[in-house]
Amino acid sequence: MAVGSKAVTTAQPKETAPPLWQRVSREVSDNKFAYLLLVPSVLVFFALVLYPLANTIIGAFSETDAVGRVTHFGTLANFQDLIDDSYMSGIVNQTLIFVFGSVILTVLLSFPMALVLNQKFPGVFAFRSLLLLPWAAPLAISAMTWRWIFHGQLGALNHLLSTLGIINQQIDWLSDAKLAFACVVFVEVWSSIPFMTIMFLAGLQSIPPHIYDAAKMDGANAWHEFWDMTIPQMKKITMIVVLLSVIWAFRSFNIIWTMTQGNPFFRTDISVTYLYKLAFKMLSFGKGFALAFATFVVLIVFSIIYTRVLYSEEM
Amino acid sequence: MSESQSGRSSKMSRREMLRLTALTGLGLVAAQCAAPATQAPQATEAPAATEAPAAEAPPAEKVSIRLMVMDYDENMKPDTQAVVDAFNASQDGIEATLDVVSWGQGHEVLVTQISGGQPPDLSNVSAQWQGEWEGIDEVMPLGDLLPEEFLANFVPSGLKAFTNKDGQLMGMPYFLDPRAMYYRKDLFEEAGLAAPKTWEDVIAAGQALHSPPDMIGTGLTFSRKSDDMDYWWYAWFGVNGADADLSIWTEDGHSRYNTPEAIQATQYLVDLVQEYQITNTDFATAGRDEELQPLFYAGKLAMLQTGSWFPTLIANNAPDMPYGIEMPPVSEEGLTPATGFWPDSVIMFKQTKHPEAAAELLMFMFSAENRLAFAKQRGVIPERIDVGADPAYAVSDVEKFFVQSLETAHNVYATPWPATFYQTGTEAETLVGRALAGEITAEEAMVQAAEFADKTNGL
Repeated sequence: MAVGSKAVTTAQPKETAPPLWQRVSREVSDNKFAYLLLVPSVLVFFALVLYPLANTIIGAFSETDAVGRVTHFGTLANFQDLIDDSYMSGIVNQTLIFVFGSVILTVLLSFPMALVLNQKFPGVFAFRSLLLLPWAAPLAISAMTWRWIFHGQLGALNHLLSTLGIINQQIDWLSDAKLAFACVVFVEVWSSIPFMTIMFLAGLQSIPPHIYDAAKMDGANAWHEFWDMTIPQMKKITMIVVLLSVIWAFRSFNIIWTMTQGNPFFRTDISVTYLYKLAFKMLSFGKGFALAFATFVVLIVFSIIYTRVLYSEEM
Repeated sequence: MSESQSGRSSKMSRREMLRLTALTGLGLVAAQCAAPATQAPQATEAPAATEAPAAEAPPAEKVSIRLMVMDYDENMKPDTQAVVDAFNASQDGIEATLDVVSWGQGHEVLVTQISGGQPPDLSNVSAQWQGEWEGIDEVMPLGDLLPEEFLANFVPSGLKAFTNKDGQLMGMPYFLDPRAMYYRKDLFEEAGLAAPKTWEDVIAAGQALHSPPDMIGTGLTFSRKSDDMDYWWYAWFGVNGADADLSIWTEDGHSRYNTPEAIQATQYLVDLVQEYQITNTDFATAGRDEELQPLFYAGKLAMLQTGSWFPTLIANNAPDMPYGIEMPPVSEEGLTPATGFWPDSVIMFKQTKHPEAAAELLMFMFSAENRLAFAKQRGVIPERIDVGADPAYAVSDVEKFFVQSLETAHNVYATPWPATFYQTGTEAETLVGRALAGEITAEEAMVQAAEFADKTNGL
C-alpha cells in the first residue's frame, strides 16, 4: 500500500497550484447557480452578523462618544476600565453561576422528565403538549408574569404561602439579592426545561429498541439498561444540548431585564445586562463594547474547546 | 463535468475558504476603522443655526420634517397627532410626521438614530439626555431660530434651565412638573393624624398606618426606574428648605453629596427603612411609575411623593379615593418647604436639514392654545406665562396648589449640568440604596457618591 502510494506520487509531475484568485474565480464559475442561491444568506449574514461584530470589535478598542460613535481607534483603555470597574468581579461571578447553575439544573430536571415522557401511559401526549407551554409563551411575557408572582406585597406566591400558613410576613423575593438571583435562575430553568426535555425525548426515542432486547437476553436489569445503554447513547445529544444551553444562558437578557433589571444594586446582572447598562444607561459605550467582545471571546473559546472534546470522544 | 475538468488542485480547500473569510472580515474591520472619522461630527464644524441648509428642497416641493415624542400616557399619540395634523393643515411648504415611542425605549431609539445619522428633526427628551447630546454637539441652538417676542412668553427659570454656559438656548421646556406629598386623607382623619408637613409627621403617620401587606406607610424607590435620585431629592429639599442653596453642585462644579445636609437627608431615608420600618421593602427594585403609584391608587400606600401628573392618574384609576396634597415635608417646623421639578425639553437635532421648518413646527407646538391643551391633557404645569395665568387653566385646587408651589421650586437641572449625569446618578442612587439596605452607612454612601461624581467630572 505504501509502495503503491509512493509509485502514484512519483508518477505524476509536480503541479504548481494556480493562484488563489484563479481558483476562486473557477470555483464560482463552476458553481454559479449554487453561489447565486447563497447570495441572500451571505448578504444577511454580513449585514446582521459580521457588520455588528466588526462594529463591536472596533468599539472595544476605541474611544467612543455618548452615542457610541468611535472618536479615536486604537486603545486598550476600555479593557482597563472594565478591570478597574468595582462591579465587574461580581458580574463575572454572577454570570458564571447563572449560566452553569441554570444549565446544570435544567439538565438534572429535564432528563428525568424526558425519561418519564418516553414511557407509555394514558395522557402522555397531553403531558408532552403541556410541557411546551412555557416554551411557547413569549419570554418577556413569562418573565413579567413571574415578576408579579414574586412581588412582595401583591404577589401570588406570598399570598399562597401566607394562606397555607407557611409564612407570617411577606418575603421580598426580588429585593433580597440572594433570593432575587435564585428567582431569575429559577425562571431561566423553567423556560429552558421544555426545549431540553424535548431534545432528550427525541434522543431517547432514537435509541434502537433492539439493544435493550439484546441486553435483556443477556440478563441486564433496569439499572444496567439505564446506566450501560441509555446514558452512553444519550451522551452526544446531551453535549450538544448543553453547548446550546450555555450559549443561550450567556445571552439571557429578557428574563433578567424584565424581572429585575439587574437590581438590587447590580446583584442580578450578568454580562449581557451589564453591558447594556454600560452602553445605554451609563453611556460608557466603549466599556460596553469591550465587555461584549470579552463575552464573545469567552463563548467562542468555550465552544471550540467543548466541540473538540465532543469530537475527540467520538473518534 | 466541470469537476473533472478542473481537477482536485483547483478546488478551494476549507483552510483557503477560511482564509478568504478572514480576509473579508479584516476588510470589514478596516472599513469600520475608516468610517468613524466621517461619522462623528466635530464641534468646530457645526453649522450656524441660521445657515441655510445646502440641501434645501425646491420651493415647489414640501419639506419633510419628523417629530418624535416619548409618551407620557396613552393619549399622548392621538393628542400630538392632532397638533401635527393642525400644523400640516396650516402649512403649504412643510409636511410634518410623527413617531411616538415609550419613555423606556426613547433613549435607546434616539441614541441609535443619532449614531446612524438619522435622528428626528425635533423630539421631546429628558433634560439629562439633552446634556449628553449637547456634550457631543448634536443639539441645535434655538436662540437664532426663535423670535425674542415668542420667547418672552415663557417662565424665565424654565428657559434658563436649558440655556448653556455660553448663553445659548438649547431646548424648549416642555412642561414643569413640581413634586408633592400625596397622602390618604381618609386614613389620616380616621387615625387623627396631622397632614404630613414635617418629617416627624411622616414618621408618626407611618407608624400609625403601616401594616403590610395591606397598607404601606410611605413609598421609596432607588432602582433607577424613575427620575434620578428623586426620592433623595425630596429629603434634600426637606433638610434645606426653600431659603437654602438647593443645588447639588458647588460653584466650582464639585459635588455637594458629601455635605452634612446631604448625609442628613440620606440618614432620614435610612431611618424610615431601618429604624421605623414604615416603607415598602422593595425599594431597590420597585419603580415609581410601575409599582408605587399603582400601589397608592390600589389603596395600599398611605403616603407617596410624586409629580404633578399624579392627580390625573388618580382620577383615571381611583376616582373616589380621597387624598390630600402637601409640599415635600421639611426636617423641622419653621423651614419653608421647597419642591423641585425635572423638566423635559423639546430639542432640535443638529443633523436636521431643515432647521427653519423645524422651528416653525416648534413654535406651532408651543402656541398658547396648544400648550393650554397639553397642560390640561397631561395634568402638568405650563411653562408659558400666559397659559399659567389663563383663567381656563388653574381652575381646580390641585392646579392652583402646583402653580403656587412653583414659587419655591428648584429646577433640578439648573445649569451648569454635567454631561456625565447618568454615570454619577446611577452610582449615587446605587449607593443610597445600599445605605437603605444597611450595607453601608449614610455617610459612607454620600462620601463615595461625591468622590465618584468629582472623579467622573474630571475634578
